[in-house]
Amino acid sequence: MAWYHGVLHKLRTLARESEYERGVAEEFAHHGELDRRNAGGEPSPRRFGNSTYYKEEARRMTWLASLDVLRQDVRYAWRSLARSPGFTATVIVTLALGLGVNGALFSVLDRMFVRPPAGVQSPSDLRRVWMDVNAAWTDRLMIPAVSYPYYEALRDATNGSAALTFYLQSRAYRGRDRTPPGMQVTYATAGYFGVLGVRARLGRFFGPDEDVMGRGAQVAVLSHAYWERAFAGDTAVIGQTLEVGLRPFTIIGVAGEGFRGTDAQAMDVFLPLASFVGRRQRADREWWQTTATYGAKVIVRPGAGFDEGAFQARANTFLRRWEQADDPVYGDSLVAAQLGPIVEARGPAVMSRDQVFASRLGGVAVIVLLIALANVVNLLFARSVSRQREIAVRLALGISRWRLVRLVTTETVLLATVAGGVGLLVAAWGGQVLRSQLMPTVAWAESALDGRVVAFTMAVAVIAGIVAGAVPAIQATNPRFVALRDTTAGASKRHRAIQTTFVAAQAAFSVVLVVAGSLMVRSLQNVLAINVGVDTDRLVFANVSFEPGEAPADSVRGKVSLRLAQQLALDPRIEGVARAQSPPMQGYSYAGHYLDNDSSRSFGQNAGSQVAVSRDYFAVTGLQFVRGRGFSGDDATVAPDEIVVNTRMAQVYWPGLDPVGQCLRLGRATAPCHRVVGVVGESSRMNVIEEPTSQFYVPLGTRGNEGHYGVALLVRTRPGARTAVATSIRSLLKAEYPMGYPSVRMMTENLESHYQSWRTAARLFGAFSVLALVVALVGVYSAVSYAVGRRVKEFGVRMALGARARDVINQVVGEGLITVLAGVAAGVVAALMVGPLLASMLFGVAPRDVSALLFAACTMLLVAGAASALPAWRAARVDPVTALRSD
Amino acid sequence: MADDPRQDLLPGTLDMLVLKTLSVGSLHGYAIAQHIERTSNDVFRVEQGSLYPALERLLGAGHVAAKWGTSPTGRRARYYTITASGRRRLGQELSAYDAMLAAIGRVLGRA
Repeated sequence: MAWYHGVLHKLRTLARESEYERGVAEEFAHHGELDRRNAGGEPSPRRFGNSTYYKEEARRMTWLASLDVLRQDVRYAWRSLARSPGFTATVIVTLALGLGVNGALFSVLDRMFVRPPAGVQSPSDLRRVWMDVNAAWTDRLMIPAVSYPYYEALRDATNGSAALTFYLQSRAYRGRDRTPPGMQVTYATAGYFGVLGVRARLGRFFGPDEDVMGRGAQVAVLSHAYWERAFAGDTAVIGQTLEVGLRPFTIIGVAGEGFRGTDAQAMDVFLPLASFVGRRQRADREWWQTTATYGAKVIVRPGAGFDEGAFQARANTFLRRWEQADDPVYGDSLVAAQLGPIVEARGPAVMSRDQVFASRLGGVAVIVLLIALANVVNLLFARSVSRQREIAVRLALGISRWRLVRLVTTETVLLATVAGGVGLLVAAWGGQVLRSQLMPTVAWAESALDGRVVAFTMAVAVIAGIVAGAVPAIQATNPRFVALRDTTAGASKRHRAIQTTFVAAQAAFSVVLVVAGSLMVRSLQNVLAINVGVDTDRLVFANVSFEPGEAPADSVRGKVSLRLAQQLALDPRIEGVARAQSPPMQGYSYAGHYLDNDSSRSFGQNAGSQVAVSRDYFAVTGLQFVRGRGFSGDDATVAPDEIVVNTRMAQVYWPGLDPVGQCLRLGRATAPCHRVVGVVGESSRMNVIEEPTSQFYVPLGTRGNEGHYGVALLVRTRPGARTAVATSIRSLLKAEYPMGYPSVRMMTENLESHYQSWRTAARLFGAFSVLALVVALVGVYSAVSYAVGRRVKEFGVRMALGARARDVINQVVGEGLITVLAGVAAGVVAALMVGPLLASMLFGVAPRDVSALLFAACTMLLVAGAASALPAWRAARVDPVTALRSD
Repeated sequence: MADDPRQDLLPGTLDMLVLKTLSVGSLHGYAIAQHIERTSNDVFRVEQGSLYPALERLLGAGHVAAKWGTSPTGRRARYYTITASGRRRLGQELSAYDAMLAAIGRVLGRA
C-alpha cells in the first residue's frame, strides 16, 4: 500500500499549501545554517546556491505544480471569457437550463427510485410485501397494501425467522383545528421501530402490551422533525398530551433524527396500531378482522436462516386457508405474497402514473441537456475558429498541442461550472415545482436541493464542460487546419460539416420533444372532451363530516337533509335540489342482488353498483332518460319498489328485452321485486376515464336499502350564483351542525383532480418542447449568422455581379433549412422509436401519431426558417464595395 | 572546476543513496547530505536543489515518511524515515546497480 501513503502525502500537501511552504522554508533555512556552521561560519554562496530555484525544483515534485498550471489556465480562461460577455452569458444560460432541468429531475427520481428511507438501519436488507391478488371480482392486481388478517398469516409463515411490521398512514388534525397540513400519522405495530432499526432520541417507543388489538394504549411517538417544529425541541415534551382529532394521546418518545417513516410522505407522529379506529366493512366484525387493507403495508426484516422461497410458499398456503375460512362459498381469491425492495417504486407492481411520468421526464431532461450541449459546442466552435490566428501564433511559438487543448477545455469547464452553479438555482426551483406537480399531496421529508443533487449537477456540469470543450479544441488545434494565414476556404468546409452536424442534432432532439409535447397536449384535450354523463356546470354538492363518535345517527341526518333540501328549493338562486347517498363520482355501494335466480355475482365485473337517490336526482344532475320515467311520488314520500338503471346495465342484464317493467331483487333471492321504471344514459362511476359500468338507482330509504338516508345534498344553481350559493349552504350546515365540518364543493372542482395529472403532463412536456425550440432557434441562428459572416466576400461579389437581395435571402434561408432537414428526418425516426415509451401516459392518441410527427417537423422547419431570416437579411444588405475591400 | 576533486552524482543514483542512508535510521535533510558526503570521503556533493526534490519524490511514492521533530541543537527539523516499500525499492535499485556495474566492467574489460 506504498502508493496509498504517497498519494495521501501528495493530497496533504495539496490541501495545506501554506503549511508546505512554511515547512520547506524552515527546512532550507535549517540546512543553510548547519552548512554555514560546518564551513566555519564563512558564507559559501556556491554551496548555498539559489534557494528559490531549489524550492521550485522541490515543488515540481508535488501536485502543487499542477495546481499552479491550473490556476494559470483558469486565470487565462477567465480573462478571455470576460472579453466576450455576450458569448459567455449565452453559453452559461443555455447550459444552466440544461443542467438545472437535470438536477431537478435527479432530485425527484433519486428520492423516488434510489434513495432508501432516511434514519433506517441497513435498509437494503429490508423487504417490502406486495400482494398478488387474482380474484374474480377484479382485474389481477399487484399492490403493496396488505390487510391485517393477511399480515397475521404472513407473520405465522416466517416461523420466527424474520421480524415483521404492519403499519398504515393517515392524516389527522390536533383537536378541531382543521387548518392544513395537520399531522401525518403512522399507526404501527409495536415491532415497527425494532424492525426498522430506529433508536429513540428521547423517551421510549411503545411495547407489545400497548398494542393489543381491541385495547390499544393512547400513547404517541413524535418524529424528530415534528418535535422540533411543533414543540420547539422541548425535552419536557414527554408526558404531555397530544390531541389526535379529539382523542388524547400521551407523548412517550421522540424518534431519532432524520427518520420520517418509510415512504415518500414524511411522517410526523407514530401511534400504536391498536389505537387505530377503522371504518367497519361488516357490522359483525372489527376493522382488523376483514380483508380491507386501509392502505396498510408490511415490511420484513429477514433474520438468520430466512428463506424467501420457503416463506412465500408457506405464506400462500396460510393465505388460501384464511380466504376459505372467511368466505366458504366465494373464497375463490388466489392471493399470493411477493417480496420486493424497501423502495416501493422498484417493487414488482406496475409503475404508477407519477412514476412513469417522472422517469419519462428524466429522459426528456437528458435530451434538453444534449440540445443545450450541441448548441454550446456550436458556439464554442465558431469562437475557436475566429480565434484561429491566435491559436496558430501560440502553436508557432512552441506551446504543446495538449497544453492548448487543456487551455481551451479549462475555459469550457470553467463556463460549465458557473453554469452548474446557476443550474442549481434552476434545480432548486424546478425540483419544488416538479414535486408539487407530480405528487401534490405528498409532504417530502428532504428539501429539493441537497448534497446529492449538488454533487450530481456539478459532476454533470464538469463532464459537459469537458465534452463541450474537447471537440472544438482538438479540431481547432489540429495542425492540418491551423495556418498563420487566414485560409477561409481550406478549413471552412470541414468546420461547416461539424457545425451542420450539431445543428442537425439539435433539430432532431427538438423534434422528439415537440412530438412528445404535442402527444401530451392531445391526450389532455381528449380527456377533457370525455363526457362524464353528468352536467357538471353549476352543480354543487355538500356534505358534513364529524369527529368519531360525534356524528348524529344517519336517520337524524337524513331528516335534516330533507328539511334543508326543502328550504333550499325555495331559494331563487337555485334551479333544483336533490339528495343522494353520495354525489356523482364520489361513491357507490355494491350489494348483492338477484335477477330471477341468478346472483349478481354471476355478472362478475359487469354486476351493477347502486346509489340511493331522491326523485329529483336525475333532473338536477342532468342524467337523461332514454326510456321510461323517474321515481313516482314527491321527494319526501318515496315509491319504495321502483328502480332506474343505466343503459349499460339494461344491455348486460336484459339483452334484447325491454328493461322497463323487469324485476330485480335486492339482498336476497326471495326479496320482493323492484321494478325498473326508467333507463338513463351512462355516467362515470368513479373516474373520468373508465369502461362503461352497470349502475342502478334506488329511491332513498327503501326496503333492502334502509341504511341510506341521502345525507349528501346536490344543488344546481342558476348561472352566476355558484359561489354565493355554496357559501350559504356552508353556513346553513354549520348552523345545523355546530360540531361538524361542512364540505361544499363544485362538481367541476371535483373533476379537476381527475384532470390534474393530464394537465401536468401537457404543461411539463409542452414547456420542455418550447424550451427545446428556443434553444434550437438560438443554435440555428448562431450557425447561420456565423456562416454568413464568413462569406461576406462571396455575397459582395454576387451583389456586385447583379444578384438581387431576394436571391441572397432565399439562398441563405434555403441553406438554413437544408441544414436542419436531415435533423428533422432523424428526429422523426427517433420519435417513432421512442414514442411507445409514452404509450401508458397517452389517451386517445397513438404514440406514433402521424399528425403529431408532421406538426413537430413543420414547427422545427418554421423555427429554422425564422432563425435564418435575420442573418439572411443582413447578407442581402452587404455593400459590395466594403465587402471586396475587406481583408 | 576541473581541479575540484568532488564529483556530481551519477544521474539516478541519488534516490538509492538517500534510501541506503535512511536504512540506518531517521535523519533530517542536512544530516542525509552530510552522511552521503562523508561516507563517500567527500567525493560526492549533495546540493539542496537535488536533495529536497528527491526527498519530495520519495515521499510522493511512499518510499519514505516525514515527521517534524527536534534536532540535537534544539531546532525544529523534518526527520525522514524509510518505509517498508522504501526498503523493497532499495533492494531493487541495488541489484539493478550491481548488474549495471558488472556490465560496464565487462565492456571495459576489467571484470
